[in-house]
Amino acid sequence: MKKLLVLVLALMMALGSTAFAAVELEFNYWSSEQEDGINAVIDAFNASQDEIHVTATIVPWDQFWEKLSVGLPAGSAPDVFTINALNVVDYAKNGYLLDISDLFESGAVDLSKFPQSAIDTHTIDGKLWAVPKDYDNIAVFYNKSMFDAAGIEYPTNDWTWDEFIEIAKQLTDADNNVYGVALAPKGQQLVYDYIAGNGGQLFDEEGNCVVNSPENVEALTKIAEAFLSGDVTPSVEALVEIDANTRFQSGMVAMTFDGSWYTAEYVECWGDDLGIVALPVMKEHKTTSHSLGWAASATTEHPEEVKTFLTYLGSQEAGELLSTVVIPAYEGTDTMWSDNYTAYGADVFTLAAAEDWTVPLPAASHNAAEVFDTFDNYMSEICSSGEVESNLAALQDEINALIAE
Amino acid sequence: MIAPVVIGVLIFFMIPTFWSIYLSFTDGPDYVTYELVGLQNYIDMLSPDSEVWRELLNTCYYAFVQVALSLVVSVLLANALNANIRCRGLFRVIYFLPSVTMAAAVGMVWRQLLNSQYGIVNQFLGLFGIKGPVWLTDPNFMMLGVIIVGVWSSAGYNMIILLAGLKNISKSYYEAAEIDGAGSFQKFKSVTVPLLSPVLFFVTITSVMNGFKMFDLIYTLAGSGATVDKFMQYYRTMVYGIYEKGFLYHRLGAASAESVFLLVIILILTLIQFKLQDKWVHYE
Repeated sequence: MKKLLVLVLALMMALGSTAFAAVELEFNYWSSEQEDGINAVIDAFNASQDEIHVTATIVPWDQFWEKLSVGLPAGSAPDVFTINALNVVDYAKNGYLLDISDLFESGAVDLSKFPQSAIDTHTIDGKLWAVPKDYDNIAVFYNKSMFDAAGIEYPTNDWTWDEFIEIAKQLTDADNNVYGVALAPKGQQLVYDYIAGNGGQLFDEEGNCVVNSPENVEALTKIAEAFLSGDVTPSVEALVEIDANTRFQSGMVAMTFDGSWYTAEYVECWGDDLGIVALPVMKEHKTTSHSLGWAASATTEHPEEVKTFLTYLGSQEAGELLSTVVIPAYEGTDTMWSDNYTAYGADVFTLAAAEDWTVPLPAASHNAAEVFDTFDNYMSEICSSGEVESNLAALQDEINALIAE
Repeated sequence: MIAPVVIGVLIFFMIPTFWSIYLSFTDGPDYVTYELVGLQNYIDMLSPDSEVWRELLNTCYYAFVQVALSLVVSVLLANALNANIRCRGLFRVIYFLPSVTMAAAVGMVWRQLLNSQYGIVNQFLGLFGIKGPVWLTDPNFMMLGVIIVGVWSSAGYNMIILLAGLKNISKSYYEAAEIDGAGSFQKFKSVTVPLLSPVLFFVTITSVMNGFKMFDLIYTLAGSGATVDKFMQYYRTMVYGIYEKGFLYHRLGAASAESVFLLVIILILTLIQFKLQDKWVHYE
């Protein structure tokens, strides 16, 4: 009996020691709705070899950046984490991110397989600081039953802004608080798309804010008109009380401009009544594309193992595993995601990437998070007052001051 | 014996306080790299076009109105629930419940209640033929909405403390007053209030401090939509401003300077209240 016990103990120790021999890596992310897909990737990586063991932890959005902002400079950050366009800039410039350019130079991660806008998002000062993880962009979600009830044909990808406004007006019944569309007065879901779609820019090549241009005045005047006409979209004030997302889900609006990340939620809500179509065209098809990346801490104790892990994350297999929960950046795996939702028209998101309609989410070269919020502050002002030029001039000055700080 | 308390106070109160005073003289791109910049943060903060004045105004508006209302309501409640009425215990529990409810939940629920079209607050006002305001976006009513919620959630807690105070007032005072022919208002004014004044004083001081530290209700009531300046300028209290600067935009120096400013304000207010207590607080 004792012998058996000793044997079992010895076996356990043997097993234990091999487990301990593996290098432990810590990975943090915030997108809890992607848990299943990300766990599948981590499990597959852990199972594929026995030198490295990765532990994934979800850190809620609010604490995520707090934790990184303290952890990165102090050297206590997780080895690998997801990163977005607004934070990659300052982290890269301050030298907090691990230099992984050799992964791309050696071809361990094949950059030709990733969309350019995803690569651009994480390229700072000519260097790529993260392995592209996924991408998203904006389209119009619409409620087919409300179109049917009004006897209006479903929109197609080549519809124009003016046609869109006309349709929205026909669907509006302001007395009963029903509107054709709920437009959110925000950069990503509306304004960035039409700044690009009307031939304008937010930042020039040197990174200076050039938002106050004739093209942008024109685009924003059209947007502000939609808000002020009273029979297209709920007002800025009304949208604070009940936001666009809630309105669309409760059938108070027939259309909403939203990101691909809401697809699963809206499909669950409306089922076969859900339709998705490209943003109406002002001058040309453009849609803001944001992309998350897999980045690593410069102070990680295991840079080689981290690079092995990142190489796996940049592989086709990882993209395939992620495709259940998000549009993966890896070529060909993005359509695996949209295949789940083709019936609703979600292939418009991958089409936008394939047709090069996408522009990267504009991120300032300094104080990016504050610039992003400042932009949205002014959009609420413009869309409720209709004063475009004076506000754009003030916005441009304010953003340039924040960048120069 | 007192070592655990002293260590706790040191680690969680004293050291952070002095550390943030130090940080208020620094500036840097993130939480760990920073350099001393002297009084620059204070000069920026106290300049005439600084946002801090608007925040101070909002904070004072909230703190003074909310504290005054909450005191009146809680004294009345405490009195009512000190009387011999049926289901007294049940009512005490009901009025105390908001105090043990998470601010996040309170904010979410009140956002619905205050909705201008579907909320029950305006439907209730409608019963009396009053057209209720748009609580969440009308600049004149936004802070008032927060105050209503603040009173609702703090009155129960103050009530419990005041109830304990009421229990300590000997019945013989009331009997004596009755013999002298005092009515119920006279009894309240001349017996209850003076004998309750030490407790009232405590409740006032803690309420004013809590009022000046207002953050959670603003954070939850503003929700996701109202965080743009167009609306936030009417909501933004000093602590909310500190949170924005420090945790959203990583301006730890500016945030620390503002929190030192807030500390000084609360300190001065508390000192004034201690000076004033000779005038109205009656210790037996």
